[in-house]
Amino acid sequence: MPEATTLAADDWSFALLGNRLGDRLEIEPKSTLRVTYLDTFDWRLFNRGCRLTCERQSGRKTLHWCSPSSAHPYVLPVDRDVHFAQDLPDGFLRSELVEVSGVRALLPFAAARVSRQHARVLDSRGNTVARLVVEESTPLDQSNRDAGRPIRTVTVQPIGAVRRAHNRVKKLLHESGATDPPRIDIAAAAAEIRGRRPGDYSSKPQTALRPDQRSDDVLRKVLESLRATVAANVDGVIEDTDVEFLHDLRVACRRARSALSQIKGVLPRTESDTLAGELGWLGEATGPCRDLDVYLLEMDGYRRQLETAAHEIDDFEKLLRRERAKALRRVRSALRSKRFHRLMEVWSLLSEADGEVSDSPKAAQPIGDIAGKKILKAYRKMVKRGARLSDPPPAEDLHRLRIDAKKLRYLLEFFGGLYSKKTLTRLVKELKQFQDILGGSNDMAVQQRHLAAFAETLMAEGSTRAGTVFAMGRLADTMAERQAEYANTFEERFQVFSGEASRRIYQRTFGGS
Amino acid sequence: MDTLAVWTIKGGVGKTAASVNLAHAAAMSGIRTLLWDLDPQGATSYYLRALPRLPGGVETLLDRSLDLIQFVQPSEFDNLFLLPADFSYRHLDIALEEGAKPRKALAKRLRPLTDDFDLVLIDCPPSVSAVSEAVLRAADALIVPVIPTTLSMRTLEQVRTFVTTAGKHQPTLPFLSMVDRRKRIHLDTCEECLADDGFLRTMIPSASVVERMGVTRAPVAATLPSQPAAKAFGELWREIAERLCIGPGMG
Repeated sequence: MPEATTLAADDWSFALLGNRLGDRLEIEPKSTLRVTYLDTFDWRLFNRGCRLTCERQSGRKTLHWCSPSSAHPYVLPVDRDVHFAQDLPDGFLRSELVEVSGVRALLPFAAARVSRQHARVLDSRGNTVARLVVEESTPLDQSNRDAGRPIRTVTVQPIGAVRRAHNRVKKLLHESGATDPPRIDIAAAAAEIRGRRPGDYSSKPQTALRPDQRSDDVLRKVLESLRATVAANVDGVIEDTDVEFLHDLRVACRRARSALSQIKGVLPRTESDTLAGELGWLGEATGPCRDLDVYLLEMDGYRRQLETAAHEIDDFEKLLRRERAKALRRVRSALRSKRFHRLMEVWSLLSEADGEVSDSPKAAQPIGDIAGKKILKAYRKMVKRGARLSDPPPAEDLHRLRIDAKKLRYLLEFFGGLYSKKTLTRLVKELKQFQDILGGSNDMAVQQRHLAAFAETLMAEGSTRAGTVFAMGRLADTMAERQAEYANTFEERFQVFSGEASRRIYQRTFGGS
Repeated sequence: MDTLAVWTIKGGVGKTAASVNLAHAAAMSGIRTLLWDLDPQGATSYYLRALPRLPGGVETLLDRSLDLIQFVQPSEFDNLFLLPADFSYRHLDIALEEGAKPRKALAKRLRPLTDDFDLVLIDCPPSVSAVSEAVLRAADALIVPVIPTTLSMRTLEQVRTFVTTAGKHQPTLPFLSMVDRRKRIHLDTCEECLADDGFLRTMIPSASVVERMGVTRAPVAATLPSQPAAKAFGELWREIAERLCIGPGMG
């Protein structure tokens, strides 16, 4: 099906087109509406080339969805604000959005007031050849006041199947002053008013590196990127916008701790130790809430497992929600505490570009010399430890290997910019698949322990039915089975990870010869 | 993807108006709708301001090597697409009979469209023929317009008999069409029809705004949304969607 084309219409008006088309141009009255642009905090829609807007006009609210896989926008009327894809009724948009946005909230990042006028271009028989949508969009600030220069566009939506006629309409538009393509995207312009830029946040460390850079300089940059990630997520955690804010905050803290512990002697020791210690505190303060989030995210899966007995875990879910509310209060209080603000200050001082320079010779060493050695050492350590494990390996051994794997993964992420992107992508993918086994095994072990503790709490409360405890027992059994499955697939995955092909790539990429 | 056929044996009962207005109402509620104009007269295509022409005509329609999606046209309305009619469809009966498994032919043509649409609404020609049999095979439910007159009621019985013998036991949902409340016979027959639980409750009035669709060339709700006929088509769609569990349910 033919696709719509949007042209800039700063110097275009219907008048010139009307002169050419006469009564074959039918212009409809203007309407005014408010458009809100939505995306997840980490730009999952933008990164996939999708766009979600909410249009409000005369009390009617509609969601408009555009994605690279569909030639035409999809429109869904809604009767309330949609904060998550899961709020939508079952159907096309829900399944598309769940796939793209996952558990993340859909947040308004920009808004515009749009004056819109439709027109249709007819052929000699009165059939519609194209629909024109002329829009004048004015960015709005947080208070919904006009803020910025209006952007004018004309969009040609081809109707019918006569391609020649569609092309003729586009040509006529060009001849009547429309230019191709529009200079400014309204969503980006409106986002800028609110201090955002599509794609301006990613939870991954964003650091451009050169191998000849001083190690302390690079480590500061890595730490600064991670500090910025933590800072960016604080409000979302406190407001409990979605569970990924806390997850991203915790991952950034873990990465920072890992960076400090793996690349020692590069930054001033006292501050480094202080920061590492305080990050440990923050990890502990936020850990229980994240654990509970994981269980709550799993509830649908648990219910599917239990089939007809799904309702038996309602009490369990209520307990999780109560515990989570308590855990979130602790997280909020930690993030509002003086201790957290001091932590961020130390972090800031340590990662400042012109911060204190360590007198250790390592500080001045080019990062290219250090990074490869660290990565290779971490990889070899994993291979060595993995080779010693029995088949199937015990859970404690997998747990130790899992920690080693995380360290390697963080190193690859910190210093990835120094190496070929293609090679790094392959290695990270391979490591990630191996980590899925290690992490999965550990999750199942931890969750079984927690499940038993939750069951005891419920029983101690005295109001729990036997069915609930029995259903939780069934879940624990399934977890034990899955843990065993992970252990059984360990050997196969480890062979890939530690095989000749991978070893050669690690050696060639990070061995320096 | 749900497939509904608006079909009856009798002509002039508001079948095409129902097809266009129901498809529009479905699309406006957020259902990705394909309106398939199978009537060689091409009135549905005309109402949507489209050229009633399918390149290659009947041959294209039945050629399984050609994906029908490439002939689907966007309409002027959100979520509403059209597979236009072609005058050559007057030979569709013969073409179906000449091919293999004529009853399954249309159902097979629809199968590849499953991911692209939530609903296919077929505007069928008013006849009992090989085309009707193929439509019966393809449709998950039939929407049957009935004018509240004796002859129209008799036709409904014929439709029901035909569905029992040639259909796949899908729901048959008759609704009262072109109801003129000034006529005693209409009022009496409506009462009789609504005593039958199988009938959809919403009645479509006989209204000049529906007749004017030939002039406006648009669904009634697109030009005169506050008119009773426009509201009735919207209500009729909601009732059909509810009975057949066709989503989405929000909005």
